[in-house]
Amino acid sequence: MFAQFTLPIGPFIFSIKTDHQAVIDNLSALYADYAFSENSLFIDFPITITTRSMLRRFIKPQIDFLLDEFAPFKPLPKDQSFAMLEWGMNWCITTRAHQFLILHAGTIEKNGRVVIMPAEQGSGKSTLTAAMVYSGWRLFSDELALISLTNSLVHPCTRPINLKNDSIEVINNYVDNAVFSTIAKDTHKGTVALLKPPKESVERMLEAAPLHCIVFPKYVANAQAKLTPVSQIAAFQQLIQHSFNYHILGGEAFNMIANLLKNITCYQFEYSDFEEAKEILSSLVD
Amino acid sequence: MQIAPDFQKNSKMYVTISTNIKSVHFKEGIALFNNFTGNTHFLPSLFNSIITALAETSSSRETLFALFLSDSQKNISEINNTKEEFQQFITEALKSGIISEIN
Repeated sequence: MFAQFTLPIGPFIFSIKTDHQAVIDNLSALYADYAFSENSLFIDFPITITTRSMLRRFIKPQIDFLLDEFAPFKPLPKDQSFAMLEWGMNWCITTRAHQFLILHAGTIEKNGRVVIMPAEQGSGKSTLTAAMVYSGWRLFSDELALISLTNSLVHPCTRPINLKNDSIEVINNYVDNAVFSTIAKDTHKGTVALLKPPKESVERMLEAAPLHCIVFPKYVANAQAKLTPVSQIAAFQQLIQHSFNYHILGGEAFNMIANLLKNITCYQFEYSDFEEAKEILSSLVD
Repeated sequence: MQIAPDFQKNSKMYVTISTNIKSVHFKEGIALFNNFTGNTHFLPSLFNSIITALAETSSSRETLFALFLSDSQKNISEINNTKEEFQQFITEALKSGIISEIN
């Protein structure tokens, strides 16, 4: 029997239909603060999480991710169902929401000022984002920065934070009463768990804000937190590299990045300690 | 002083920046976007004056080289290296469609 959730997330409306109890349980726990609606006339992404093969319901169970009845990915083991839903939701946004320049970046806000933190996988971006949003910053996203092509404002896409491997324990120790999804082991990203976003960030997920600065974070064990300015040209190159849709938007994205860089400062940021990181990042927006 | 004898054969050719190129100048260099190919190129600020001059009007290679030479502030002993650098820029910029030659 299928359960259906209509889930508004920032500028998007997802419809999620599933017959997997683990997905239902995790959605109910991690999206508890969201305004689920019964139905909506305007669904952006109709998603189904189910098992298409009857055989795979029983033998080495697998699940499929479908967008509008189309399966863009190969099936994954059943215990990765919720992680697959979250990865699939990212895929929906990055392949379709071209009203935004989309960067692979942690995105946080304080005092009405947005800091975008683009980084490679494994650089500690999501861990840093998780620590900051449970220390007074507002969560926009741990994965995607959405910059509107029409007004250059950054739009929240507030969703659970995707943590991997050692980061799960680190954040579990750092955040009081952290709520995690069930843990998915042996995924292509290692062990994965999703962290419930702060309630206040969820309640304000329709409030866009201007970009204040860009920080390229990198976790370096035992390093003292340090900001180093990055040249505009070097930042431009890095932003292209971290963009999901620069090649699709073309000239529009080029103009947008060029204009943004003329008005903001970019930094390389090394850190190992959350308290130091918090102090330095706050100094950028206070 | 004859600074660019190799350019003689192209003396009637002018170089112009392609109409499909957008350029943005930063302190450390220039970002160029080719609307046709979708490619983005970055040049060091050494080429600032050439791109600025070409954005205003087409120029001969000799004029551009003179501009490049004065900007790069190289002394006379380094002229061959500078010329090589300039030629390389022209060749690659033509190849990538940033500039084109006109009669």
